[in-house]
Amino acid sequence: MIFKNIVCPVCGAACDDIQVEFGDGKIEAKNACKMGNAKFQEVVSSHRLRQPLIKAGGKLTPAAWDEALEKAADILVSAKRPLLFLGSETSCEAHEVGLKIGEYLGAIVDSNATICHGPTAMGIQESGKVGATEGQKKIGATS
Amino acid sequence: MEVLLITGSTIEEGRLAKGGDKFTDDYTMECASCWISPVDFASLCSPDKVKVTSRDGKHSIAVYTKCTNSVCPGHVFMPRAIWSNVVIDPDTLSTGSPLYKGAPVKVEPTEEEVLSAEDVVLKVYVGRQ
Repeated sequence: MIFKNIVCPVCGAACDDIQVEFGDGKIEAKNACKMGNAKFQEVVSSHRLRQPLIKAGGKLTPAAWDEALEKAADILVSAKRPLLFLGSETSCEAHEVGLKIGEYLGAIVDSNATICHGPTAMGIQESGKVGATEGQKKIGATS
Repeated sequence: MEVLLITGSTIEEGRLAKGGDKFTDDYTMECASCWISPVDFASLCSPDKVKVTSRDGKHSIAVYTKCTNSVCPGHVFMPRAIWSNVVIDPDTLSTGSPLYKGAPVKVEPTEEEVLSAEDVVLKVYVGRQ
């Protein structure tokens, strides 16, 4: 199965013309650089966690999704001062869900934007430059 | 030798990090590395390894050298990774990011062992040898 116009999940250049072919336990990404390709290969890599694991007595043991979600919810609602650091290389949709969870918990929410692209944007703005993603540049160059 | 440390991605560092290969020899060889200009490399007597020390002298790390024209004299480059992170200036200037580019460091030839990423964690952050 071929998916077109996928946004690369790696760097802030945000290339949005990645074509991904997925099937038979294999994945092929076109238009992605070496970094992007390596990230897409993680989907089928041997060290990907494919099921929830719960730590019991210091040892990680496989668990059912319902049990794991229940446990995760327990940890979050029991937290005295929850901090949600939303992961890097994560989709906008996942961030949206994270923000909703943060609001529900009254948590402090932060993300890679603070330590990575936040300072970049500050620098760009302070020097009077225009900001653009690689995806926008590619569209601009071809239109 | 006093120089300015520039850190940043290399495409191979990116490929290895994004592919989940930080605990491999390939990653160590790519990232435990200090790129030095030919002029500075010669005045250091062409060492295989250097010890890079932070300006306050509190932190240092041994890495392999790479002599290259892509670095200016007076600068060195280290791929962004756990080795460079030991010696970058932690001051964020209120931006949220430490000084990844332009931190003054001292570079000197060394015979010290170059540690793996795991061993750097154990030595620097856990306090074990």
